[in-house]
Amino acid sequence: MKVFVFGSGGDVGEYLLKKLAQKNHQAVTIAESANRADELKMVGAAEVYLAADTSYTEVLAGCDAIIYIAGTSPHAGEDNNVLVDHEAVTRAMAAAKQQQVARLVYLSPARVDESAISQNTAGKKIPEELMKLDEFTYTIIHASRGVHKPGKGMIDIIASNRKKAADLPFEDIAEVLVESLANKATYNKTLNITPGIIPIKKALT
Amino acid sequence: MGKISKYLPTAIIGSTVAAPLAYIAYIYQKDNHQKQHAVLRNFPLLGRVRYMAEHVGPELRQYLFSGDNEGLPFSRIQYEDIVKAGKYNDRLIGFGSDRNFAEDGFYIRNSLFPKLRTELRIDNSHKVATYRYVVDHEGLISRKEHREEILADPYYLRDEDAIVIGEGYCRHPFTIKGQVGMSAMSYGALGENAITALSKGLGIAGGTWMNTGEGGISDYHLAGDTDLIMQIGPGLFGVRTPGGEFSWEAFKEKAAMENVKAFEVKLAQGAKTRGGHLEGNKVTEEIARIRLIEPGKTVNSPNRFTEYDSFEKLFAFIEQLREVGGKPVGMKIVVGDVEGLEEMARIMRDTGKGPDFITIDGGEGGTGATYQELADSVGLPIMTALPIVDELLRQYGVRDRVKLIASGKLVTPDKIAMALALGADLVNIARGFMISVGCIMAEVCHTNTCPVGVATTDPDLQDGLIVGEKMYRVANYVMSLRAGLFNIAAATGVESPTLIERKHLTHKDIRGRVSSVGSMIHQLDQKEKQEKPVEDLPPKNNL
Repeated sequence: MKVFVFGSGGDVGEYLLKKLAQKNHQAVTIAESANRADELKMVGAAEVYLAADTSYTEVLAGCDAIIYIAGTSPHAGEDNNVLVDHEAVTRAMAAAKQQQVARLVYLSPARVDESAISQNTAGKKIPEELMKLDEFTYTIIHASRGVHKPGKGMIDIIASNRKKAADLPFEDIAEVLVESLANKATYNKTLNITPGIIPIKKALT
Repeated sequence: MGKISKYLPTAIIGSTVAAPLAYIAYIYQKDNHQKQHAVLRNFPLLGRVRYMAEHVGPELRQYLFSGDNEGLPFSRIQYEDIVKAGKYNDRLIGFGSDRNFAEDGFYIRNSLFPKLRTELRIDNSHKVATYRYVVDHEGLISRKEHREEILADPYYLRDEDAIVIGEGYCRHPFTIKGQVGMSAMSYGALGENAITALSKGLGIAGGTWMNTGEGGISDYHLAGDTDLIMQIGPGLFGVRTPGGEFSWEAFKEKAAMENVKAFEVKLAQGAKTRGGHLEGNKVTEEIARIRLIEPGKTVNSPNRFTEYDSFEKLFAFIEQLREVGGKPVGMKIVVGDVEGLEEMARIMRDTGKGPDFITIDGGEGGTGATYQELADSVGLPIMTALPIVDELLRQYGVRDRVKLIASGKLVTPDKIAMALALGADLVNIARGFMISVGCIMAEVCHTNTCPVGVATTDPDLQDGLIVGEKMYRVANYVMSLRAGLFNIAAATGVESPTLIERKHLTHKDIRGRVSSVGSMIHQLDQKEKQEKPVEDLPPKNNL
């Protein structure tokens, strides 16, 4: 599958590109500099466009799916007015529609262990509402806070957000995104994931 | 009520008082009559306090009395930097530096427009699984901390920046994706636990190497699957016939090993420009097997390869090693004789022969056992020795064939960066790695009684050194040094530490004046021209 990755520059991004390559997907992404583009290619990106000389419509042509990692700082969360550039998400979605890319896996900046109020602060959830309105085949993922620890390959999917959830390795978050891509059971669903005891593939079905 | 129970308490009390008194009296007599120590004869018993205090002096100075910047060979701060980098994988400090800025010293020239983190040519594409400690709470008498597994950035050089030794000159060049490796430390000098922890730690970190020391390749060096540089000393340990000749058979065997990436012919070592001595009782079955010597028999090795007394002969030997082994061959030297090195560079140019790398050990380098006169005063320190060799090789147009490895107390990223600026391609560290596996600088390496089980083969003492704990500290230490080098590269305005040059260094003298670090040899020539020869001086007795 040819997958366009938005937000590959963050912590989840490197693991995601690596896993996409391992699963024989072709990852396409955008980098802010030539040096960063080299790095993303070393990690596993098949094609990297430079932000300065590309338009969304151009780079999305021919892609089968989009993985969108919405950026927040790792310490974002409760009571932080995290600014999500939802306009960027909206623009990307418009371009995707134009290029007839129907599949969208979205890692929300709103964390599992945030209160509903905090999740809605600063428009963090606006893109999710838009996604549902449009005719995308979406999967929205809310995860607990990511950490640079080796992935365990095990998660739990919980019904709604909870007060406190343990940290989840970025590697596992990336795996959930990749495994969701062609998994029909995740279509048009919002999944809340935390570290757990069920192997990722099984948890998603 | 018998007599026993009546007198027993008195007897016990009596003897607890009388016995120590008798012992004290005995010691008093002994001190008074011995002929060795004047202070004991004059002040029996009391004089012993002096010897006790002298004995624990290093510990007292280290823990109680010395300032943070005092103490040699490594100050308290340098020691802590190494330990913390290994344990917590974190080197941030608060408030500012403790360096004495009034003194003479090198400084790194920071660019007014440093490189951004995203502009650096780092390869972090393969994260490294390691463990680090996190402090939960720190009180006066207790510290609560826990160990956690993390995926750390290894800070490798990019493939295009990787250092390649012997490229175009041998069948199997050695490619290294980092500039910091482990200096020669033999099994025997260090115990099996220490060597195993080092090998495994270096293997985890990757992008580094381990020099076996002249004691041959032990199973412990191989334990971590890290790249090895096998050192060949005048004792020819590991590559000798029973008669003490060089064994090409044994050499071929070593050269065929996958982990062995290069060979280093050891001409000299900074602190030990002397021959080796291995006491018979230290030559166990295992050491004998590794070194290819007889168990239980004392071995004295000469301070020079007996057969090679000129560069022509030495280079012929190196050529043959490279031809037979197919792997790069280097040599380890100490710089003192500048004219001799100039001759070496000239011969390298004229014959096209010579080593693939030169390890330059500064006079300040360490050793397990040497004599004071050799440790203190033979050989130039690294920051002088290194630029001299670098310039000579450039002058004779052979620098591109040779990689330079520098060593001598280069245990922190700033010192390493200075060595890179002065001409080094790679840097060797020995004592920094010893500290990372638990060395507390007790300075008893030569006695086999190392209190933390590092520089000893005593199984009881080694019991204290847990391989599964210390190996991660080794890995964290290497990775933090590489991270530090990229920090310095960014500050000087270059994308990779491989681009740090002499122009990135400046020297400030005690009066605050700065000078650029130009050609050392040029300055040497100038000085010689200005200074009058000794013969030209007026006579001593002006009659």
